[in-house]
Amino acid sequence: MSVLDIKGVTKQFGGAVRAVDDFSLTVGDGELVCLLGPSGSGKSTLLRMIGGFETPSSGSITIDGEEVIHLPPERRPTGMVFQSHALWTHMNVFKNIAFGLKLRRRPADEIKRRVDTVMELVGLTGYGSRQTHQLSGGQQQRVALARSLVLEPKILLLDEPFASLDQHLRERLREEVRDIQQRLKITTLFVTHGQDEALSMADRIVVLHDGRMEQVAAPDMLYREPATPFVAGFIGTMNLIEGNVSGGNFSRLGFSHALPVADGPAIFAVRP
Amino acid sequence: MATEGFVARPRIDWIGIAFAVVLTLVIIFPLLVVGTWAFANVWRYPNLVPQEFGLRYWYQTLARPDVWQAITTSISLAVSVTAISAVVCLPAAFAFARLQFPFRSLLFFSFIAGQAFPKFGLLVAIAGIFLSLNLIGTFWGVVLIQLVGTLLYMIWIPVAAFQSVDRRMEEAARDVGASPLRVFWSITLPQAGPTIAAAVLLTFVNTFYETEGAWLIGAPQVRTMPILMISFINNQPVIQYGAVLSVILWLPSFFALLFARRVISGGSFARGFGA
Repeated sequence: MSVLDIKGVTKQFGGAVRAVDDFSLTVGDGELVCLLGPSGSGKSTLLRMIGGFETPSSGSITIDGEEVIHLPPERRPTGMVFQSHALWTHMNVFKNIAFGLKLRRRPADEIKRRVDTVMELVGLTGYGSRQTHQLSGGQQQRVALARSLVLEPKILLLDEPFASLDQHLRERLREEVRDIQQRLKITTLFVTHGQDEALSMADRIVVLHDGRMEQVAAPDMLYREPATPFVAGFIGTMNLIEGNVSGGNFSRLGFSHALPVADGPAIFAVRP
Repeated sequence: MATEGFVARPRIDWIGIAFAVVLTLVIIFPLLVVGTWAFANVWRYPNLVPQEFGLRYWYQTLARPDVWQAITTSISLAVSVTAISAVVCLPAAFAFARLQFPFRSLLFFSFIAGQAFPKFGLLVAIAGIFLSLNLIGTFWGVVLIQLVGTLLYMIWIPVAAFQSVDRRMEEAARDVGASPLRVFWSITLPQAGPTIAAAVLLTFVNTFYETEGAWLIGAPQVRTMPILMISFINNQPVIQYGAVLSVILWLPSFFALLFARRVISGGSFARGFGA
């Protein structure tokens, strides 16, 4: 039972530009929420603030009702999977996964049991003694995932975890991660700039643009009823036609179509 | 290559062969001559090879107390200088790599000053100061002067090593529960380790062969191996003394290279220099 609650979080780096601007979101227990947006939209900054790697300029972040803003990353109940895997190349696979348990001074037999369990979960059984450079990109990402999962974090944070993988592998891992997440019922926040990734994995999608939330909705709602022109242009492919509405009729050059909205300039969106 | 011979006939790389031959002549030939001299009991003109091989001059050289004195001095000097340099420079290198402080760049580039200008002038100026401090002719005086020469290697290479450690690796360690200090010991240091080992090795070997500072500050009380060798070559009518000593002097760099091959994985030196 873990609920992540973000309230009015703003992040300002140096100047006046707000990387994240007054962002609020509640992620329910066992829910997988995708933060979707183009690069520079503030989604990674938001994730790093939850993980403890950036401090918000204002606002609050609570996990199960407990404020975490003043905690350093090592004392937060979050587990982060980095885009670049960030595996420790001087340790083998087993040691990478076991490091967090070692820091917690668990007995050796418990460490072995838990690491074996999680390696089986991510499909890496038998790879314990491999060096990280002997693994493929997909396997490295599995190690990174296992390294977080073995500590049973309350909140799992994934920062574009599949960005460095090829399309085929990405699709497979996407399903696997979703499957693992559902089995463990782990509350998950997933950052991506790929709409297909978000649409196929998420319970809900948050669309971010210039540090602001454009819309939060279930994937099919987002697809069918985008709330803003930005979301309409970002999700799926749409033809956006700028024109005018007068008397319940949208018109642009020779084209016109009945549109029951107020008069004035409008954008007519059509899916192919 | 041989098995592919009839598929794509390998062209003979004449330029490569020419380079190899020239390099061999320039590097191997002098070594060969010195090596031969060291093991020649008798070698008189006009013979191309010595009339008599043997270890006579090895016995004679190694029987001299000044040689043993010089060996001990050189080793303890190089070890002291390397150790002190590491203790002083490595924390400084970490600070340069990771922290922001006033005049950071200016300080950073000041370390190159010792190498950028004719070194002897700098050394003479330092010697003047040492004279008034009664450090001339003392072991620790030589240690101090040789420390100056190690700053560049021991700061610049480790700085590059610390900078090239992936910050995401450190963040990932924080994420699984490591304190900042623990991250340094378990992640940053092992990651930067091979390159730092390269810097330590370079420092040791360079200090071992350093002559200008050692001679200017140390002479005549403190005599290192290279200085003894120079004086043998200059002052002794018997060539073999100098030759034997120079062969003995090959040993540190030979072992350093062996050690380097084991400790330093490929590319560490290059990474150290920012490649």
